[in-house]
Amino acid sequence: MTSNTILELKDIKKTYIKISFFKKHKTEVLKGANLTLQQGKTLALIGPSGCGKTTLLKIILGLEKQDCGTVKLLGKDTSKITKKELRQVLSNIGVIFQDPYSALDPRQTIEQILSEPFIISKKPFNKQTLVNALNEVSMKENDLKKFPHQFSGGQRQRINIARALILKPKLIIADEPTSALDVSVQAQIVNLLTKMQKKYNFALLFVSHNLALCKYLCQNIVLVKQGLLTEVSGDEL
Amino acid sequence: MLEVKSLTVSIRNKNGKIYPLVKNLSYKLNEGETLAIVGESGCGKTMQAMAIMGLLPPNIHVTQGQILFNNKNILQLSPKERREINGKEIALVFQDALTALNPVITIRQHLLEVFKARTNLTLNEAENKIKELLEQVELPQSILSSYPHQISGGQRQRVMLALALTLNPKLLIADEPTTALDENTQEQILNLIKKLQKAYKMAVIFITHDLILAKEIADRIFVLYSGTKVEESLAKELFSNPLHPYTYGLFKSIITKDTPKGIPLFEIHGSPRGRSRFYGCPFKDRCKKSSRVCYKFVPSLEELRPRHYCACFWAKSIDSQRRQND
Repeated sequence: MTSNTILELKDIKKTYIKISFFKKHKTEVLKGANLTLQQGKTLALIGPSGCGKTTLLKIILGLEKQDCGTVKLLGKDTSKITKKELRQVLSNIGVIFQDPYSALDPRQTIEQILSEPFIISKKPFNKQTLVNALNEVSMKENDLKKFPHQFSGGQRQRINIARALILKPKLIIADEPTSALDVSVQAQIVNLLTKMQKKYNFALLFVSHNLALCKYLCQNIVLVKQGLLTEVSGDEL
Repeated sequence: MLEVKSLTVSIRNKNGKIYPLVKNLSYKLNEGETLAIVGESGCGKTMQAMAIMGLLPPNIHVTQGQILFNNKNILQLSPKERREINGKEIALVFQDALTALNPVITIRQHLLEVFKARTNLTLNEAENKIKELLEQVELPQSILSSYPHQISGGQRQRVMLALALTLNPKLLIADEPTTALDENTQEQILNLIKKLQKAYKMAVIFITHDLILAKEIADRIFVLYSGTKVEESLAKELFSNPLHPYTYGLFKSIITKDTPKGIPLFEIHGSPRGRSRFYGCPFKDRCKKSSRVCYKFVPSLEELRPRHYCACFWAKSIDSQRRQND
């Protein structure tokens, strides 16, 4: 592992067990997933619905526990560190969700939404930090007082990006960030993501169905198929 | 078969002010034809479909125009007469199949409900019809005892199609039926719609924001912007020769496998919101070509090439420039 490796997955296995009517159904979702992601690089995860992409993301984010294998975030094995340390490591990850409509709490103002990451990670902040974050995604200071329903889908996704970037994370996980958006808005969001990556040099783990978009945006593309990860080149797609 | 004549759908806000969502929209649809309506979210695609189905929300009304279905203005029909047409003549497939299906009843109950409510078939006959329908939409019989949450997104969309086809409609309105699906499933659903269209000899209105999908399925496409039709043409012609700056922008911002890496994508800056859309050309604020004329007058739809209509003051000069370059 080189020093600028942000994420390293080794031999991750995960099986879901469902019990119904005295029968056990086993579904092996991941059968030994290996993955490394360096700083400043972009990696795309592609695959059909239900292939295990979301499970893999959940395991990286600590929302799901793997059956075996190791997850190393910023060089630290997440299963061998204390909860406090884990929280610190996880504050280096920003997540952009697929659906900009349900990813933002409808009862919170944009100011509350953007200040939440600071409150959770117990880091100091002031209003100017929030304004700067909004300005970076081409939004204005008076938007801070508004609620999510007052914005269009594209603007909501910009707020999502601002929230993901506000702690200056080293890894951004984007779970199909453009699939709910129109073509014209998709172009705006993709351009914004590339601009931000150049500026902050974060690693980007990009999950998408759109093969052309993955080819445009990512240096490496990994195909998730039958629980295994295989690297494919853009020309093969 | 269907003729929409200067349809205006408006919303009344809290203060009682009325704002148009769809403005003066006119189009015709022939039997067996597929028409795609393309546009950004909020441009009025779904609202005009809901106006056809008579399913507009309480604060939204048709304020002007006619919708002629088989030469009958369906806006003047009583709710009872309207109900006869909905389902039997015109069917709708909604965008999000998970929310469109009832989570507490099985797929069998969904399908049986339609037969019970709208036909005089006996239970056995209805069951046989359901079997046929499932074969048509390529679903296994075992799915009948499942609940909506137990089946995949593609299967749910197939169930929606089966529900729409129960009464052999003549017009199918598909409102973004593939948006929530992955590419493979999208293609399967598109092929299925094409197959069913042939089998049932239906006309289809396909509503989407994806231009490539529209090209794959439609004979004719029209582009809607802020409730106004800005361009209409045959699908192939529109792709080879987009005349309106908005359509051109939409095409340019599509990412294809040949899009060069590292160069920023083409963007149409801004969003269609804002009050200025209510006067002059609705696209003027986002258009690179806009001038004083665009702020003063509303461009009308003109036929610039055979069966290719465009509403832009600059379209003629764009077209002649392109012809010269050719």
